[in-house]
Amino acid sequence: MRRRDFNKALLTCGLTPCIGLAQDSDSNVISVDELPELVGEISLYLGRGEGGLYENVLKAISDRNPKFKLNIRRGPTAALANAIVAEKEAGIRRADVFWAVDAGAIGLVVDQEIAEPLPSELVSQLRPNYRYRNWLPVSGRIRTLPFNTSALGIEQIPQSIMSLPDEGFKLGWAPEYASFQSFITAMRLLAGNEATSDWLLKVNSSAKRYAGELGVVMGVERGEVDIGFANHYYTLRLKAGKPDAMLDLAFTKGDSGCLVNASGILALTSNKTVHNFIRYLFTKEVQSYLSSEAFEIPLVDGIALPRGIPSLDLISPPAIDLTQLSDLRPTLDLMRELRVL
Amino acid sequence: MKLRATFFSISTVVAALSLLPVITLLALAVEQMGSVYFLRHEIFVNTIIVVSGTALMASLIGVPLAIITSIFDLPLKKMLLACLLMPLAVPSYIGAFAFYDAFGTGGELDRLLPITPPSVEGITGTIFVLALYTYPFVLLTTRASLSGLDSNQIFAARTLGSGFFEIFLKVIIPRVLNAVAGGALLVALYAISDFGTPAILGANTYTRAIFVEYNALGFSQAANLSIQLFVIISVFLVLESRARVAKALPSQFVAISLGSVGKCLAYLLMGSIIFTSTVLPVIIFSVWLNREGFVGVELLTVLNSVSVSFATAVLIALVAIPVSMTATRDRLGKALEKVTYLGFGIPGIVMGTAFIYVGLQFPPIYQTFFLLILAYLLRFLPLGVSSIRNKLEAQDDSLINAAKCLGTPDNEIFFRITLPLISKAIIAGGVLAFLETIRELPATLVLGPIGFETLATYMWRVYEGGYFALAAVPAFLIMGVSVLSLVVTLTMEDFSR
Repeated sequence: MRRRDFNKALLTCGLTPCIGLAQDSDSNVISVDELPELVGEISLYLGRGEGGLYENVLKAISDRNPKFKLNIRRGPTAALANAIVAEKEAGIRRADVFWAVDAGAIGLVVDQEIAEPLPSELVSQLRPNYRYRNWLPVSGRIRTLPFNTSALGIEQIPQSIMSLPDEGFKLGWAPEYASFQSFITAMRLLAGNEATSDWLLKVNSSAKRYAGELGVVMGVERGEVDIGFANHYYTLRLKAGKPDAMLDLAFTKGDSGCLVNASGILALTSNKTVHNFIRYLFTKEVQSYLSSEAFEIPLVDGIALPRGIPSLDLISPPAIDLTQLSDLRPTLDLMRELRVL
Repeated sequence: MKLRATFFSISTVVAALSLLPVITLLALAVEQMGSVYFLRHEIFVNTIIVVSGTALMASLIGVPLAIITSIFDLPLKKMLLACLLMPLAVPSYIGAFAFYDAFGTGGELDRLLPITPPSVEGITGTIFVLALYTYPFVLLTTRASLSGLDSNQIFAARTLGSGFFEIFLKVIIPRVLNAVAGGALLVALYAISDFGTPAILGANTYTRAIFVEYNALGFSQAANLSIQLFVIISVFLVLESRARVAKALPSQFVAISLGSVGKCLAYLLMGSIIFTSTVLPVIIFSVWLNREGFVGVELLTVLNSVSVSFATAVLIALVAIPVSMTATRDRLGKALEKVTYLGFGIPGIVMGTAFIYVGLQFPPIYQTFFLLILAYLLRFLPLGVSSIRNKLEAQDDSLINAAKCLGTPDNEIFFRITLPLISKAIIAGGVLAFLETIRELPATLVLGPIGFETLATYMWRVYEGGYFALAAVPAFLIMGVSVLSLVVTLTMEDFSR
């Protein structure tokens, strides 16, 4: 399959028409044309939560490589990370690659020293502040506060995440979602366990619970709640499909409320097929697709940011290294103890 | 003799396997003695509220319907009864899907209707949806006991000067009480084991909590909750086994004619239940289908669902024969059969958790079809066994005795007499197992081998992704297959009688 066809395959899978995908830029990002054909079979553990857009990428890769067989196990990101660790303890290895929606779960696996090192030229494609040991961030996402614009104006929303529960807004959340849990990990690291407990208890006593963050954003748009907690792209995707939606994004300043997180990938097997498969995710085509269709933040140099997102200079994320988010277990224990989970 | 010995050993092996999940849970519990996870009151209370609420509401729907469809003389009664039993074919999570998305602000009905219907969610929503799909249990048990009602009793009461309500209170109610309790307990067992409905509607019951723990690195907590749930279920199972009613055939069936107002009310009640439980979800899925088109489900998913269910059904039909044959032979066989019933009481999510653990101890079977199908087998074998055993028990021994007198060996008696006689029951049991397997969600979710997607797990993924409308195609497929299988079973069992 040629590159144009690959783009077309991605597009036909996509839900909305896409602009800006076929543009060739001058950057030295590699194209799918430069990659060798994938041959062989690999098993991928795919953390859920992307609403089918990652599936489109995987399907386009499979369609382009007829001699390549991809076996996918889907599950909540934390559950899959847990499975990989439990499998390792039992002496089993089922997954060759783990693609997770959240850096915390990736870190949990990396901390077990079971991730294989990745070729250096793969790592060097990434923006310099997004290079890590034994895993690669695929796309970035920002924690945001989607709010209903008919219920309140952006100036009414506090710039501190910690004071948000005291304002008497109706809040919506999805505490079982991995990105939310990483946000709580960041809160623990920045504000301490005690303040985080207080915060969780306050929100838990009044917030409406959703299964996932798309649900949260839909709830905000329907006016069921005033403000939600969600990754930025759910709002942008909903607004792309429904431009008159009563919905907008607010950002807190310098705290866990505007944490920049990333989906990430790591290899548990080291071979050419695995490496070339991972290379696909960092091609111009896939990174542009993730940016323009999934509204995720491309982490490879030279790919345009998604429409509707303020420039990364305008938001002020907290100083948290993504690898610190692997401290997931105490977060889950805390949430469990407080009956949030 | 050889055949008998083979049957006995198969029975023994299956019974031993049935103990496996329970032993695993106990082992996990012992292993974590140090960090015993105490009863979580909130989950316990929620579960009890959901279970008793569902049983109550299902009885409130099921009993009047049973009375209407058995003692009154109404045109079209049989067809309406068949429609009223339809919810048996619809897994409640499909109903939960439809109601959750369609009701409430911004839901499908909000867009179609001038008014905003209240949202269906949380504990009340779960009770509502579960009751809508479980009342047929009460309807069936109550009807069965009413069919034994002799109209002479009613005539006698009338002669003695009793009015309708007195007859209702003193003749009918005492007659059906035990049966209602039996039906309500079946409802309770369904409600306590169901995973999809509370999970989709957000009621924090045991099954949902186990899944959440399992997903949040809390394997031991999941095991602990599973054990608590299993203990509660055991209590229900014991109660249920006591609530069985003896059947007696009446000398004269009851058929009371109703006035036009009574008829109107009866039709109104039946119509509104049929509309809410069956027609409404179909309308909602049709709206989705119309909007989204035939998208989403791959052929492979359908094939996966059908083939794994078919394999399970065949296996269950084959294993159920020796188990039920042994059960009708002697006490030991009966005891072995009772053990195989354990699996039916273990919710899919609990079975899944236990078998993940088993798989981790024995890596070669981890994440394989072997474990998945074993889980299905243990869960649904009782459907096959009870179908065949009922037939065996109802059978007249004279044919077999005649063959014995003529010196026919046991093996030949089995293949030439018994097997042909129970063949319909074997197929009926297999079809029931097929039906249950194709819509099974939690165990498939947890135990499915890599890359294995069924219609049910696809629906779950769509739910997690928030793209509800994509569920229309799999929902229709599951409902279609279910209705088809149910029709087959009902014809097999000569239900029309």
